[in-house]
Amino acid sequence: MKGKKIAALLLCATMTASLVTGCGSSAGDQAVKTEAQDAAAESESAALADADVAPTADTSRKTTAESDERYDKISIGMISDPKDLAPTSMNGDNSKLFIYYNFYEPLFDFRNNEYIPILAKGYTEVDDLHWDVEIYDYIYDTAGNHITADDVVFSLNLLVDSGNAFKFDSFKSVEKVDDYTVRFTWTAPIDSLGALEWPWCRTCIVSQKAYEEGNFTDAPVATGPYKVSEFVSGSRCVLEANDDYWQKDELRDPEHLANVQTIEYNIIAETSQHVIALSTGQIQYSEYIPAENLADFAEGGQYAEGNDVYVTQGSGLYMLMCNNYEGKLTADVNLRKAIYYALDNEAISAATGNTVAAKALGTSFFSDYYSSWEENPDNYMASCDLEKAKEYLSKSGYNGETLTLLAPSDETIKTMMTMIQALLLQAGINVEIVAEEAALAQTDMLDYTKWDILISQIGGGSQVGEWNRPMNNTEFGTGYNMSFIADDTLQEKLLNVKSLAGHTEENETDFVNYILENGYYYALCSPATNSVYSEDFATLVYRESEFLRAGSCDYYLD
Amino acid sequence: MGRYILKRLLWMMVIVFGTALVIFTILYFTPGDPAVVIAGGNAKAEDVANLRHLLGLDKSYFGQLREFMYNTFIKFDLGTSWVYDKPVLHELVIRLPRTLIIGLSAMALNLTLGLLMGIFAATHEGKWYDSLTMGIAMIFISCPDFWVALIMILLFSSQLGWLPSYGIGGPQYYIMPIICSALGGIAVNARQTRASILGVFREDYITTARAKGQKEGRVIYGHMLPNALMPIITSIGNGFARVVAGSAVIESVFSIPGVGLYLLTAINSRDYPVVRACVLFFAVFTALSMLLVDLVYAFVDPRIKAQYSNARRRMK
Repeated sequence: MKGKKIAALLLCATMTASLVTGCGSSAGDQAVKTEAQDAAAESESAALADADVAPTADTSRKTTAESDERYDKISIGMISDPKDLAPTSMNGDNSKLFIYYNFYEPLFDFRNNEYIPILAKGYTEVDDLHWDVEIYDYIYDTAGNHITADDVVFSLNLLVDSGNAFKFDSFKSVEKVDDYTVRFTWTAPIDSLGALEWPWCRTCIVSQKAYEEGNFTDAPVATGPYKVSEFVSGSRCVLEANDDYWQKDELRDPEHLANVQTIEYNIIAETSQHVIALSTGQIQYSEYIPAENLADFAEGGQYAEGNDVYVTQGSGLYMLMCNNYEGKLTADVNLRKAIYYALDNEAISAATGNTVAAKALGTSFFSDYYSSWEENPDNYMASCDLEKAKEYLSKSGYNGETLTLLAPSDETIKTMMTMIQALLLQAGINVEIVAEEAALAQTDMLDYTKWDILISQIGGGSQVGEWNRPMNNTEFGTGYNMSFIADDTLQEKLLNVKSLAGHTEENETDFVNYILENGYYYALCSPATNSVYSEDFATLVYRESEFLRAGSCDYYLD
Repeated sequence: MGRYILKRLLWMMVIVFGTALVIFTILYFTPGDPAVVIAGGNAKAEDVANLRHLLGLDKSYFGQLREFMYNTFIKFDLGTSWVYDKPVLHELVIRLPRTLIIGLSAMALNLTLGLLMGIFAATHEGKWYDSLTMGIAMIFISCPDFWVALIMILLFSSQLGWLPSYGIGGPQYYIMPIICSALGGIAVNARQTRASILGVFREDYITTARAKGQKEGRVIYGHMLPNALMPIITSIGNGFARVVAGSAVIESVFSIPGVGLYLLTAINSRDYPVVRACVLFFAVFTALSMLLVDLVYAFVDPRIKAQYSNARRRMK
């Protein structure tokens, strides 16, 4: 009995000791710990110092670009399941965008605000409402089916009938003109940049015969540089190079190459598993390594041998907006500006570890973003100014009420929300965080009663395309835009910069200045893509800045 | 016995029907619009409205319920996944074997090791190896399966490189998931077996068997175990039901495309036909498992079998 008592006492003492060790630390310990943390952070930063430099091929080594040989096999880790491979279900699912362009091809690609012909030879404007697109007369899919104008018409109608033809506002109909020409009829004259991105660049063109006879959800047949050899929903998708790719070598688009024989996409649901899979060589590329593990793969890290890190700014943007609905506290421009001046993008970005701080209202990734916006003295995104924040706050009608900050509960955004809450509290603004599951947040953001401040991740093919989603008051069918602004001047200016004629630096700058003057929007950070890749890659090629084109990357062969 | 099975099957239909009603209602009132999620962040209001119409989400509660019940119970059609664009039944049939391989193998491991550990501990009651066995069982119970999974991945995949850490393929892909799924069950079965055997350990018929000079093995496996089996069977029955219904965590950690991961993905993407079908499937599987347990009761315990027979005679 005595022995048992002693054992119990010992166990209690051990538990207490472990609790104390785990939860508390003295001031001295804290200082030591902080120094140690700083040192660790410094070494991590040093290790990642070159991570934003794009990998360039070592010219002394043999690569696929200089040879007819292909690299044997590359395995890529993905976090979400593409679910199926049907040509009509690409839109709205990033995991599909990652995979689809290997085997499906559209009429055009949209790159640097231009339509790059792929299946199409080019287009002719017949009149304002009718445009002809001519396709090559030697396009064949991987099953040998000849692609003609009938197939283009079929593919577009298939997408429209599926209910997944998003952003087809300009599209009215398409009809065959001759075997290799189709005529698009528009609902109105095309005068806005990127208006045709979805019907032209996000519609997968397939053979009607192949579609009607085959099973495209698991085994699609298309014209791309790769063909699907195995698809296990929820597990993997294996692609093999298409040796009979239809396009002539001299005309082949550089983003439609097949430099690797086999591409295997592995669906790995846990980010910790991505770390292990990369460190053990099971995969050669992943964008899902947690920020805290990146240094392990950079120079000096425990898994650095054979691996490297490339951190690149994506085209997306985390935008913060205040609710402008009549009667809302944040409808007061002084309160909005107080909020914006109290925020510190550099600090928020540093806390997340996987974003790049915005310096003006946009993403420097785009060619129609102008760095001159950063110099504007009224640009509240340039730096944190607590004095100005307090000044605006005193002018506002704010009396210590608690504002609701709504956002989807993703890890990066949750960190941002915590930082924003702390920064606003410094200025005397109380904020409650409402981090909702993505599906619920997407519904609640359309309800003006649910939030005062909102964080939303937006994207687009250009700077003006990116602005469109949160700012255009025709997007939600309510007469308001995402931040419940119904300002005719803002709408007019937006439509102007979106139009082909009005898409100029001067107009865009005027538009940005108008937003700054009214305190309508605040750009927080751009998501960074943290790519960890094996050193077998000589170069990395991305579509729309974020979807790796594994077949178009260059690989070392020696 | 036949009447009893028929009665239980009829009850099972009521349970499944009730489950269908409950899950439909819960999903209907769950906040978050599936059309918004499926359409993605770029879709315009009219695109979402079109999609909502296409999916039948613009109908009233009773309109949608009537359609769901009719399709499920009259046409036996579980519907087509909104995001996978495939019939749910087709996907379930493909994924179920993966879940069952893990679940049934884990079950077999539970039974074998659990029973052996329990018998060993009970027959050595109070000795140090009894304490050791029960200590090990306690550790197995205390460790969450996802934590054990991560530790095993670090050891066997990352450090030793013996086993693949994710995905499906040959038998080696299933070793870690099976062990992780089995550990908790082994511990529960071991403790249950030990307690049950100790319950009959000093019964008169055991003393009589020993007094007749029967070997200890015969006493344990011929007399003790059959009489101690009832609570063990209950525990195994519960474990059997959990084989499928509790597969989501392990499948998620090891990225195994089974039924659990299918359900989890469907919940996150608001794919209601899949969620409803999976929940219904789990309900049927659990009800059948419980029915099986009751039948096994009758098989191993003559008293229960006699009850059914007497009831039939009384009916006559």
